[in-house]
Formats: sequence, structure tokens, C-alpha cells
Amino acid sequence: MPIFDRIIGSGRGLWLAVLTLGLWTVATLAGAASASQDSGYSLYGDSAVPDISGVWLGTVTIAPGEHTQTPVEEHNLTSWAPWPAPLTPEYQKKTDERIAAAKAGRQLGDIGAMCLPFGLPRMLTSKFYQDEIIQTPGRVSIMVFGTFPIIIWTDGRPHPKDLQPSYNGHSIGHWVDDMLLVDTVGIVSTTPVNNAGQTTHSAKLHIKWTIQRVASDVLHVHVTLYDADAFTEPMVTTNLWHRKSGPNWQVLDDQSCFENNQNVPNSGALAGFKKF
Amino acid sequence: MKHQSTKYHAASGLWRSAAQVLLLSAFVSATTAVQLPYPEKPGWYGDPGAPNLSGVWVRSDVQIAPAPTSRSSKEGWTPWPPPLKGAFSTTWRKRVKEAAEDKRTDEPFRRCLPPGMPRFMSGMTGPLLIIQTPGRVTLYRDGSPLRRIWLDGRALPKLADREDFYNGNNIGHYEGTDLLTEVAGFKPQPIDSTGIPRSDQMTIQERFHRVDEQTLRVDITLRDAKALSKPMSTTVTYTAYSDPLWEPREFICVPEKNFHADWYVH
Repeated sequence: MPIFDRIIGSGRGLWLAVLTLGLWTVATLAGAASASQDSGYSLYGDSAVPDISGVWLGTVTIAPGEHTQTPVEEHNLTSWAPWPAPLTPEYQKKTDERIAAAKAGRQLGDIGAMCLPFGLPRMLTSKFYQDEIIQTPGRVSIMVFGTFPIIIWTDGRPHPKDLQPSYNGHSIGHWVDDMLLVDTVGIVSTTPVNNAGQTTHSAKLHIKWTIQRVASDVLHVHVTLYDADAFTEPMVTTNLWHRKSGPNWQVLDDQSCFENNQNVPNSGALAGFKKF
Repeated sequence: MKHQSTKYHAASGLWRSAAQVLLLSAFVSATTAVQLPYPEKPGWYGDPGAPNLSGVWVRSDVQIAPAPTSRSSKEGWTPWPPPLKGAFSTTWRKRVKEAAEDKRTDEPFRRCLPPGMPRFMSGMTGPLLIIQTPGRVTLYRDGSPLRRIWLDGRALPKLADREDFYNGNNIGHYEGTDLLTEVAGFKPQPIDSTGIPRSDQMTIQERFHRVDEQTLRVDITLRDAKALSKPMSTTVTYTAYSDPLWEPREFICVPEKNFHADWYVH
């Protein structure tokens, strides 16, 4: 029996199927219409997915024993488990070198001091500034304060085969219910894992992360780091992003790191520049 | 749920048919999931009554640098030479002289600083991504700050409250098939490659007009009562970039003197 006949069955079954399909379509369209009136669903991109567009301020999370510019008690969240990072001997050696250099007054790996982007995964935990999410058909764009956007492609494209390493890597994602599942690869090995910039990873770093809208103004961002070269087991963290609205939170990242960076000597230097 | 479906399937032909439809849907999904299609053209959304300006736009070499005339600069600015007043004219002539001697010091590109508006529109190469969402038009270029044009009815900030930005403070509205913008409050970057200076009073008015499917025209007018004796204007033309695989690229510029290997690679 042809497959269509097997699926549709008898003639009576076919009419019932058409009727059912019609009812289902009407119900779906009615549901979509009501969903579009519900502020919980996106008017920007796919109307069937949650609206996560807007300005969000994540929580600064730190690893135990680390110090940041922000008092720990304000955030009271630690980042990355397990900690210390479960590094392989090769990457433990690199990390130990950085820690020793820092004690000797020479900060290695602090690429932010050079006006270079923190990149991923640090941008998922170092949330000192608000970011803006823009949802449009086929993509979710996280406009990260002062650096490159993280584009999460949701149009079904795969990661490029000839992907060149970059600070934010390449991200693809898809929605499952109220959760955006994201897969990121291609991150340059110079980006730090933690805020202190001393814990390393390899170019094989593979990030699986999810963005879940748990309330109209709260996102949970769960992150797992996989790195077969650098880690003996995956590392995980969770961040909370809170929606910020009003003129005081309008993102105004129209600034250059070179304007006022005390870490960079001669920031007015004119003799050529280096592009990466 | 699986148990309930089985019960209903046994009890009712309607539910049996519903299950058949779901099976058909699953079959169609299974056959189409193998090759997911890329979008044929940039998606558009936002105000359905507004013109569609969304997508990736590029400029050809000729569009970037048309042959200058005696009445316009190579970036198309008219009138030419610029109708600068007093000290602003002196500053510009000094910069032109320095450029001829390769001694110019104010060019932001040479310090890895953004050129800002209006060069963001009139003097930069590379793709320009325009994103339209309700109440906003967002413009992105690799290596430049975002340009956010607010269409939600807000006014430009008052001078006393205003913060200055490379791309200025931007508001706009749709008028028929066009997007009209008003921009004010800039950092003091030169407005073109020759180094035309500006005062804190400069405002920019633009008209975005989609000429056809492939062409976007942007008319730009500068007004500056302190620096210019009359307005200056140029028209910039963009062509639609149809590659669906285009993605933003990370672009970093670091002054070479500031590059310190120890701080970077490990």
C-alpha cells in the first residue's frame, strides 16, 4: 500500500482528517493571535517564542577566592563548578604560569587591559554592564556592551566548516518551549574563563548554553563548558539576567576603550595599528 | 499523554484521524528537516505600514568615491569647498595642509577611534546592517558602535542634559515610504576624510529612501550655525547585499605601539 494511503487510511478517515486539520488550524491561528497580544511572546521575531528582547543586566559572578571590583556581598554568587577548574596537566601549567606572573606584578591573559574583547565564555559571567537582546526572524542578537554582538542564528544554518577562531565564536540555536538552546564553537583560545583572566581553555572549547525566560523580567542563563584538551570534566555555571527599562538603562555603548584606558600607554599613538 | 491518546484513538474515529494527521505532519517534517532552507532575503518586521529598509547594504567603489567635481568633494559633500566660518575654516585648511605633508594627527581611524556620524553613513566601507523593530531602527557596522534611531516619539535630549556620542543621539519617524531622522550631540570627530570640523551645535537630518529592491538612497544634510555659513549635504547610495550567509565579523583595531605580546597571547 502506498505510504500516503497507509497514513490517510479510508476515504471517511480522510474527510475526518481534513476536518481535524481545519479545526487545528483555526485553533492555532486563534492561539497565535492571542499570543501576540500577550507581552510574554515576541512581536519581534517568531511570534511562537518568548519575548526576550530588551535590555538585561546579568549578575556578576566570580570564582571562589577571586576578587572583583564589585563587593562579593552585593552579588553573593560564585561561578563555575567545579572550582578550581578541572584542568588537564598541560593547561594547569599554563594557568599556574599566569598566577605566578600576576604575583610578580605582570598580568598575563588580561586581554581587557589591552582593549581587546573579553569574548566568550567570560561575557556570560562578567556582567558589569547591561546588554541588549534584539529578536528578529532567524536570529537572536545579543548586543554586548562595548564589544561585538553575539549572534545566535536560529534559521537552521550549521556552524561554518571553515570557521576562523574569534572572541565570541559562532553560535547557533533553537527554541524548545520557553528555552533557547545555544551551541557555540570557534572561540579563540586567548579568551579567559574567569574574571581574573588566568584560567585558560583550548581552541576546542565548546559551549552549550540555554536562555530561559522564567518571568517577564528574569532570564536564567545556564552554561556548560566542554573542552576535551583543557578540562578533565565539563564546567557549569548559571547566571540571572534582570530586565532593565527606562531611560537610565538605555544602552549607550558608543564609546571606545582607547578614550580613557589607563592600562594602555600612549593611547594616542599614531604609528599604525594592528588589526586582528 | 501518550496513554490518553491511545485511549482516544481506540474510542473515536475523529481522534484516529487526528493521529493520522499528526503522523502526516511528522512525515512531512522528517522529510524536510534534512535540508533546512536559508532565508532568501533578509527578513523584515516592525511596523507593517513602514517601508522595508531591513537587510545588509553595501557600497561599490564608485558609490564610495565618486569622481569629485569642483562643486563637490569625493564623498559628495556640497557646497565645496566647505562653507566654514572663521576659526573652523582655519582648522580645516590646517588639516588639509597636514594631510598633504602626511602629518595629519586628528584622523580618528589612525587612533583606532570610530569616525562617528555622518561618516558612519557617508565615509565607511563594508556592509551596513539595518534592523527594523517596533519603535527602533538599529544600524550595525563591523568595528563601529551601534547606531540606535528611536522611533518611539521621544524628543532629542535638551542641550543641558545631552551626552555626546560618536553616532550622536538619534530620533526618527516614517513619512510615507521614507525614514526621516534627526541627529544631534556628537563627539568632535571630523565629518569627512579631509577633516571638516564641527561645532557642538551641529545637527544632521537624513532621508532614507528605498529606490527599488536593490537600491537604498540616503540624503544627508548638515546644519551648524556656529561652524557653517550654510548647510552642507551629500547623497549616499547603497546596494542590497543578497548573500544569505553574510555574518558580522569581529574587527579589532589596536595601536601598534600599544601592542604588548605578553598581555595578549598565552
